[in-house]
Amino acid sequence: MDLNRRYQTVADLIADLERAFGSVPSQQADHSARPINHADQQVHVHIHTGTDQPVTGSAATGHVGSHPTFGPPDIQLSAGDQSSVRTSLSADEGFDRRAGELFVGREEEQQQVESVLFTAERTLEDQATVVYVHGSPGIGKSYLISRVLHQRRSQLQGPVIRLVLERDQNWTLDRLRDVLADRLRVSAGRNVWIELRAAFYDGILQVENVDTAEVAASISQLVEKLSGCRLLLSGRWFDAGGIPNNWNEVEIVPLSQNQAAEQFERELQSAGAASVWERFSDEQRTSLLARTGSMPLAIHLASGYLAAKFPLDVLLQKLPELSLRDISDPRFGQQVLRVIYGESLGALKTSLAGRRPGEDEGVERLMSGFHRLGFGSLTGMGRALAGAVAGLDAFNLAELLDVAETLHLIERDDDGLLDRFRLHPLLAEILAASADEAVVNDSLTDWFVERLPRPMAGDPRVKPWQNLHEEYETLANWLPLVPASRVFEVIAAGLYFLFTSGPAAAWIALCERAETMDRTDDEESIRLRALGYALCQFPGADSDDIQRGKKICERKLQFDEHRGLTEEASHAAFMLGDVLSSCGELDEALRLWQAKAIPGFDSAGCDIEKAWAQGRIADVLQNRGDLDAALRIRLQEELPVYELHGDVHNTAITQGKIANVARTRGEMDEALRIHREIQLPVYEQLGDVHGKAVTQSMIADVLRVQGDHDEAIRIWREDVIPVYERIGDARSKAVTQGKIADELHGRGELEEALRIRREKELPVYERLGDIREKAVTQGKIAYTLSQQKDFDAAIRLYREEVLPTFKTLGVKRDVAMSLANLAHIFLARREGRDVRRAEELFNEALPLAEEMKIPEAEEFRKMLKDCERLRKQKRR
Amino acid sequence: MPQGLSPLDSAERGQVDDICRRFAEVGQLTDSRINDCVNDAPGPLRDHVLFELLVEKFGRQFEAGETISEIDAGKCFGCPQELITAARRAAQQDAQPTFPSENGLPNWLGRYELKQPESLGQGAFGVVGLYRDTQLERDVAIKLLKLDHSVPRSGQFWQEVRRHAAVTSNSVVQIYEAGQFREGSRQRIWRPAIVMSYASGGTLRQRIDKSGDRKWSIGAVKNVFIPICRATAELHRDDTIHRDLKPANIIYNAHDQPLLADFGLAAAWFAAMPQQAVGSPAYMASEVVEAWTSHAPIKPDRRQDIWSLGVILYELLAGTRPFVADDPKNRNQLLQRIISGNFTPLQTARPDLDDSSGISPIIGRCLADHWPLSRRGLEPALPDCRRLDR
Repeated sequence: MDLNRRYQTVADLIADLERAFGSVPSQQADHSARPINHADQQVHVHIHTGTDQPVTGSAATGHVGSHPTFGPPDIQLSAGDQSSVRTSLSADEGFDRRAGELFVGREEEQQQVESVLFTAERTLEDQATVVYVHGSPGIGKSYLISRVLHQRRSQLQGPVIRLVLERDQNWTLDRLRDVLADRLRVSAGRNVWIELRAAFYDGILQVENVDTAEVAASISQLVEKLSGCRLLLSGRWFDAGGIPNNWNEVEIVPLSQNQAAEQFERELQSAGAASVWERFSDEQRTSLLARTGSMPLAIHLASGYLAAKFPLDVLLQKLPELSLRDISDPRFGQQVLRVIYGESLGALKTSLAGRRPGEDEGVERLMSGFHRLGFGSLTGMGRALAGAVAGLDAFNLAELLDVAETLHLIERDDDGLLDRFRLHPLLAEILAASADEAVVNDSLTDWFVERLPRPMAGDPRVKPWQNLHEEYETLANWLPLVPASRVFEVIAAGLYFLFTSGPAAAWIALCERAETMDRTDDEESIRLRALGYALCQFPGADSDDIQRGKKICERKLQFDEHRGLTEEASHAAFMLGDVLSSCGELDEALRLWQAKAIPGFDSAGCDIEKAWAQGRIADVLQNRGDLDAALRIRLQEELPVYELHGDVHNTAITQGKIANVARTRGEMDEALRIHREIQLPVYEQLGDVHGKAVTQSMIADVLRVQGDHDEAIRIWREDVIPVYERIGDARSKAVTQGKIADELHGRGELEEALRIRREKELPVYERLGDIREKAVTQGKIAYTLSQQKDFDAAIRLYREEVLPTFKTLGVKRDVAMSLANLAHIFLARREGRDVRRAEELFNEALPLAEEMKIPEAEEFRKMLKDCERLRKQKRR
Repeated sequence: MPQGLSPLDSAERGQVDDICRRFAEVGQLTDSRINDCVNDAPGPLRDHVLFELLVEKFGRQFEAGETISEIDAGKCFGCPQELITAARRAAQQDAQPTFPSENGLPNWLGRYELKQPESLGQGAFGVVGLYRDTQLERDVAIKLLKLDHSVPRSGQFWQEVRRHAAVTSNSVVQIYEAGQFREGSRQRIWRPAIVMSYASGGTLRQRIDKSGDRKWSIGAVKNVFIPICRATAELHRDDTIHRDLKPANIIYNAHDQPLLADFGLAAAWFAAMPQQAVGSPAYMASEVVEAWTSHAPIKPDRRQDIWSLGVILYELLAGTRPFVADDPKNRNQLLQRIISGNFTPLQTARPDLDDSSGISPIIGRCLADHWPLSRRGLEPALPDCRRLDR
């Protein structure tokens, strides 16, 4: 980098800024954090052919030594989204700045939390490690947790998810599971626990507001399910029943007088009012410290009030006198906070009135808007949503939030001026008590219904889906609260968002609720479509969900055809084709798309949907090796439609598939050009970190083939893996680690390759219960062992682990390839009867290869001849 | 301008006005007289003459409380119905003023009705007002260009406007239409104006000013600045260079997303009106200032925008711009400082900032020379700042 020369592109500038600023949570996004079958999950391996010449294989091309891409074909159904963006799933976005420069004391408690969470050795079989931080409201539980996570973030190789349990809601284990599944965008089916365990094993699940015995009981069940993982819980106290034995308890007590004084000073200094503290007499200070109970939240609030030049005397008069015993009683703590909140709300009104003299009505509107915010999300809100909740336009909201922030009534996440903010749960409770929930709910419904429909070219709405992704948690929380009269309106509006982004579990629940309501045929048809999307949208869904989804699609097809709903019947045929293709029934899927979906879409003028269906056909053709036909469809049928509608996201996906064709044909420069110049800018523009990481991984694949091995490894390590870590995509991370191991193996760094496979790849597949991928990795380990001349270990691994797994799974191609690989190891060892053994293995593999009509059959025949020649040589 | 009517240059506009004035001054505006007058007018002007006379006729009918029948008028004059409707609406607009005319913002511009008397902003081009599109029922911002005949007739200026309008990016203020719009109805004043999407969140300039002496934290700057960079990158991807990036040209929509406004226009305006200095040079790249001051042409380049971004980033963090004259009126000194490229290091301007993250080198690279190696080390010619100093 030439420091003396100006940037050539803004992209270079942004890249440097992101590095300097760290991640940008409000912009970074992922719209499909689920472990889908991206093209970068192709497995490249080098395999011994018996001639000491490694042959590079690719899963996509089905060359020697490769394994077919795992999982069902890509059924990622992307609607015409110009902003298919999901903000980062990581809780990093919510770190409180008071966990940084304003944090005082708590060294012992911090050490207690860290010693449990970060030092204990764990395996998946162990019980989950649980820390429960408890104390009265405002005592500083969240600050402590934020501080621990902030300081230890770099040591975590997985996601940090923050779950704030809204009070007065029924948090059953199923509900917790669905919320977590939606947050991580994994299947909502039975195997979700495996996915969640895999995701949280390297990260931390943070749960706030574990306040009652009922919630604690559900969390205890969750703890059992998440064996081996780490949970950091916090809550007020239990009325009865006590804390479960296996939870490590950390109690937070009020600060000492000195610490409280120090926090007051820091807070006032930070608010630009350091002199306020100095002006107080000793008596006033002592009184203030005593009456705020040395509680960090009370100090923070009082500082905002005093920094805004509101009188100390009034505050002291209102605050009750507390004895030491009072302070430790949470009820008194809450009373103190309620008093200060009350005064601060009065101060808010006074400040607003000062800014708007003579506009009593306007001030009342702002205040009533602030009260309505009490029904907003406790995990935080962006301005767009907050405006809807408060019923205020951007200007008025900005003014309200500015004043509220000055008084410390709201906290902005990540210290941003314009980003997200949140309210303390107690304040939310106070505010909500004097606002009308039905009105807020209706406003929320309007807000979501306006944004849910698919964005199209020329859409006057500005990036509506980006708002939705930013408020994804609120969306999941709001769906169960949709007013009965608007359920079908919401389902119809949300079809395309649900299609690409979920949250599946919440939509399924809404569709099931709709089933109990009176509905027209049209409404039933749309309901079935939504249910089908929700059940089938995740390729990782377990077979129960797929089967249920299949039944729904069949029912919908029958329903629509019977009632002459042509367009909906086409959707049903399209969805059913997707389900069938994911079950391997490709010919039937092709028939449905060609005979039912496409003609129906055509006659209904649904050209985007028609392009999707044609894209599906191209996928099948491409997988079957008919590259020319696939390319023709992509260029002539798909791309022009997406471009016409300004659907940059689907354009980028289709271009990526064209790049794959180029790569398969050996046109590496063209593949690289498409990835770099067409796909990457789109993902950057959309802020889609996952799509960007997948594309970068593909670029690294091409660079490796072109011989730029160092750059390929750098991209995987620095650009790809950290993204998967943040969003909790354990499978994609393991696959990428595998690529690095392949590369290291190729350059002779066998020990490091083995280490990565054993420590970073294999355990993940074990956690995920993915026995096939585990066997593939074991096969690679065996191959490395054979390179190290540890033939016995390699043969044992193949015989005891790899082959039995593939035979159990019954995938003939895998069995044939494993037999051949084992034969190669025998040929490399060539002791005693090894050549004969290899010959037997090739003989066993050949009929399978011939039956599957795979090109390796010819290779096996050649190897059999070689074996015979070797035996003859040996005899001589 | 009603649909279907071709735009007129000022000479043609004057001709139409003359015909109509002379005609209206003598006698009744009967249908047959109107038809005769239209038939006597030069061919290309006939529709314009008809439109003007209809506005006059309908205006008188409004005043007299008579009913206007668009259908009868359509049959009688054999012209497109849109023209009749536009004339009726124009006549109606004058009859129903909403606000007293302030800030040079007329109550009506074609089908656009003034929504608030206060302007949204004032600049070298003219004034911007908030209007309501009565046909599409949406709010728009209208930039009324100064009544200087040279600019509206400048091909390059309108070419830039067309270029701006062709950009479909979500990161820019959209231009809905541009041209000459009738101010009120019967005054026969046509104003060159640009109708744009309305962004309600104010400008970055306002936000900076609002924060007063309060320094922005790195976190706050991050949240504000990176979206601006992304918007600029998106513009560049469209092969469009902004050439006048500054906080006043960064406008926020209701969702708090920054939109870029006025790209390319400043340069084109300047080209059309070479006698005027336009905008603040404080954000202009050194090579642009150098070219301007030495009367040399300069090709638009995306690195000019990167310089401006660097100035904005510095201003957000330091609370002041990197290049300032000791006396704010001394533009000559400012320009020389920009060309010299020497600015106060960020740490000096903002000592409280822990810049371990390395923002300073990034600013340095934004504000660095971009000349090819062969030109580096050459002293730039001493600029002639007089031209901009007028």
